[in-house]
Amino acid sequence: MQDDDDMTTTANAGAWAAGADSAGGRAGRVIEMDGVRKAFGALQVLDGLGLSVERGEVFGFLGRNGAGKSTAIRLLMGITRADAGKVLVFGESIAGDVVAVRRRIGYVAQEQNLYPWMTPRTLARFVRGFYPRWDEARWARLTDDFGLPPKRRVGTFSGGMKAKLALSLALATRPDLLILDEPTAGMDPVARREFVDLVREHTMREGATTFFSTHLVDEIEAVADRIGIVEGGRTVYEGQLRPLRESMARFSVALEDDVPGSLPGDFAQRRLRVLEDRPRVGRRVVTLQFSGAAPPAIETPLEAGWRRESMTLEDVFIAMVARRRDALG
Amino acid sequence: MRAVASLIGKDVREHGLTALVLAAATVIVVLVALGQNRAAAFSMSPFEVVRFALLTYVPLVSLIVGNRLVVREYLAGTRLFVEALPVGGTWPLVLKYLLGAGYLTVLVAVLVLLAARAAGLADDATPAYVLSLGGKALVVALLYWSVVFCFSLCGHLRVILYLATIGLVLFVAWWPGIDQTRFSPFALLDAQLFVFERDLLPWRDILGTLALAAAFTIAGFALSRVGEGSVAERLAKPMTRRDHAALGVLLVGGAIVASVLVDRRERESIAFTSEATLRSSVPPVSVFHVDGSYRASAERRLARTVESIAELQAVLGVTSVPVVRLSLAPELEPHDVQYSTLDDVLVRANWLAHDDFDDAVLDAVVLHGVLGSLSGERAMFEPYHWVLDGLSRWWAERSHEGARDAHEAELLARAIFTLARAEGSDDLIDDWQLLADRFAYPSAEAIAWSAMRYLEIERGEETVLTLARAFFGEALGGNSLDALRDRRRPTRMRFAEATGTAWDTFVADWRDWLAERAADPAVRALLDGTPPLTGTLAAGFDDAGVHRLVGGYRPVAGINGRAAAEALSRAVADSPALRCVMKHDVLGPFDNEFDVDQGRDPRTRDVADCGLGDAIHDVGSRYAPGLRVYVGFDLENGTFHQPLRLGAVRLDLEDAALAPVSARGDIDDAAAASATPR
Repeated sequence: MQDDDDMTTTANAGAWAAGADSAGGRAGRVIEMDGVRKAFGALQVLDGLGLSVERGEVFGFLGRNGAGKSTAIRLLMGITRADAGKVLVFGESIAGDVVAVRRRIGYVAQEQNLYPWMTPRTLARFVRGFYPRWDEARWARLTDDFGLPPKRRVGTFSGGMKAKLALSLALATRPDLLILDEPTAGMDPVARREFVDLVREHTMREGATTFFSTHLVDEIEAVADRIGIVEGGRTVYEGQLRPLRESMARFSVALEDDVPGSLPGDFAQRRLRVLEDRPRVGRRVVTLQFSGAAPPAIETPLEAGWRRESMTLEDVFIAMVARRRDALG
Repeated sequence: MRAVASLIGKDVREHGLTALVLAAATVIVVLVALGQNRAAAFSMSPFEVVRFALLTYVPLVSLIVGNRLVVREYLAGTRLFVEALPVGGTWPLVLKYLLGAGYLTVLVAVLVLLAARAAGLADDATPAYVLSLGGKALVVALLYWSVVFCFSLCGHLRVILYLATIGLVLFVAWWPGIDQTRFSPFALLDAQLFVFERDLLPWRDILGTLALAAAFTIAGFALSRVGEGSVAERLAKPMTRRDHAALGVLLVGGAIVASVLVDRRERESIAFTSEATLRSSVPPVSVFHVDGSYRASAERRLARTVESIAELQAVLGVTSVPVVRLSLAPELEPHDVQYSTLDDVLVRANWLAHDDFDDAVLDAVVLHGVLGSLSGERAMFEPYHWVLDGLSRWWAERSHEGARDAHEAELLARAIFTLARAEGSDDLIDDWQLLADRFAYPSAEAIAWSAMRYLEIERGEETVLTLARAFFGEALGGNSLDALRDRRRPTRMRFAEATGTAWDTFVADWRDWLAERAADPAVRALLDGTPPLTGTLAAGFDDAGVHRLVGGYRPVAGINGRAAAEALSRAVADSPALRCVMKHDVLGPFDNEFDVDQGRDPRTRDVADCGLGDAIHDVGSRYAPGLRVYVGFDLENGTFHQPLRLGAVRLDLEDAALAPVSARGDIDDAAAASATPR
């Protein structure tokens, strides 16, 4: 297991980044974070976070609750400052002209703290004063598309409507970067799906760089070109989703048939790392990650009692996060 | 600039209506106050309205503005929305500060200008004066806003901070040991200087207040930046049940601590530490005699006091009595006895100059203090008060067997003389305060004593003592319920239970007995030697524009001028030192019991040879219209030991020409007119 630790540390530098960053050089990077640390008192929220987002891509920022996603976004917005490390947005340090940077960012927060007494119309009147590139026609089209009543008070809107309103506001500013900080939190599945579809539709149409933070893996699957997984304030994976998914394979054996320390077959020796090895519902479950695609079933003769399990994207995410948690623990 | 305009526009849209309503309410309140002031007979400076508003209305408005501009933004979390907009970190808060300050500035400026306009009709409101006053008002308003701004950023802690601030302000304003007129911002709002100082700007106080405002402002902004705003954000979250409970405990605890501390302060006793002090431990009496040459008199005084109190204690069956401290005060007139009661009884008197009657007066004062303290001051309750006064004197006289007859004659004559002119305010239970106010304490005491004396003669000494036990001897619980229960028992019923006589029967019989005693030779002689006069009073501006109080004397109703003149001549012949004294002083709004004799301040006494006429006393330029004054007329150094009050009146001075204070011109008429009908 020596290799596991090595890979954990290099993940922050983007060393294990399957299919990543050939698309753009440094000049094409909209977001670049490197070795970012941030603590609130004794609580170390970010502990050397590193990631980069290329121009025009939709970047899924995955992590459990409390993993440090919102803090990373607050750093990108210049709301808080990093204790250490590099935070570049549009190639500029966020500590410089924060107002100029924010004018190019459309931001949808996790909680829509919109003025409840305002209507979408008055809200737009308020917000457009801050954005020189405000596009009134686009705003009108978006609110129309989203079915937002322009004269109804925001306080009477449902959570989904508020999120759509916030997205409309963000897109109407013609942003170079759209940051979505868990915008679907608290929404029901239908509203969530609808919202994600809207994001996908508009990002595809406008070609804006999108930084989509969430802890819901299926949301990311639908829209993201690349993903970054953060756990314990560090990036544990950055790259495309498909290679990550294909690099993993899960096996299980009934506990009564299990020989402690055994592996599902000889092929397992070629693994990059063991992501997960734990008992679950009467079976020992082992998740392996390979440096390339996991060998197909036909090439992986299993030892007696072992069987290959299917893996959802959520399983992939949990396995990645679990490994990091085990490493920390 | 567009971002700033957006932020301002948002706040104007959000709070504009409230701001307008508040401004309109302010203007209405001020206009009403100014209108009432102008219409009132005794108007004050319109700028007093500004000061009043600064002390009451403006802090309230500041609180509302702060709550809407700052607290709501944090509480609703909308600050987080603004925080992510492309605008500098502190700009939204700076704009809110400026908006609030600007709004209050406009409000105060309108207030001052309205007052200036009203003042301009009658007062010399020069631009420099108005500017100076407006400047001071704005500085005070800025302080209010800075405090509110700072506290608004403290989230739910602001409630505690406001309460603590109010407590601190009240403490500074009312604590006797602190002269708040010496430091800002209290000095800036000084009752006299704020309005009436026309020439000098109190720069020190202005700068002090501004510094305080700056400190609160800086503290507010600093707080908004601590932890990148996370502290203010955390504090902004609504209070939990636990927070509410903690706040409740804190408030109750604070109230208890405060009450204990205040109580302790009140209970701080005055100790005679001088070696020139004689002491008795049971009952606890100490006598300070200045120096050794007065030691013998102090020993006599101590023995007399100890004996009197010890016997009273035994008769009433009370286990402990308050500490009595007597201090010799050779500078006082023989009949002047000064006393105060906290838990202890402190009495100052010049017993070196006393005769037997004066000694009895002093004994009665000491007993009055002891009984009042024993009753937990409930004896001061008006329906009980006559019992306290009467019993004190009765007990003192009871110990003066030798001189009792002479004392009795004087007391009876005083009681008869006073009751004859006290019609309408002579009910012992319901009118005691009024009676004492009109005719002074010695006369009220004589009346109460006569009632006790009659009770003793008719029902025996034991009945008087039973009455005393009923009012002062019964242990009273220390809580409010016991006090309420005590007061729910009607005094008439309590009297009837103690004496076996119905109150109305007793009063009728007692008054008949008094009337009969008027024929006693000794009493008659005293009454004949007392001129049947009453006071006259006129007040107002004379032709020269000077405000004057003009007093005089005329016969009481039913006595013709000639008879009165003869009686006056007789009185002067019998007592060449007889003087007529008009006593006067300003009444505070809550002055209930008022002793114009206190301190014998020559500025409040106009002494004249007695005579008939309406212009014996003339006090010019001492009082102004709008003030409330007490004016009483006394005969001093006559046949009575203590001054004999002919009558008195409480008067609101009007802005009018010099004229009699009542239709008839005399004070009995004025007092009757001003008495509250029952």
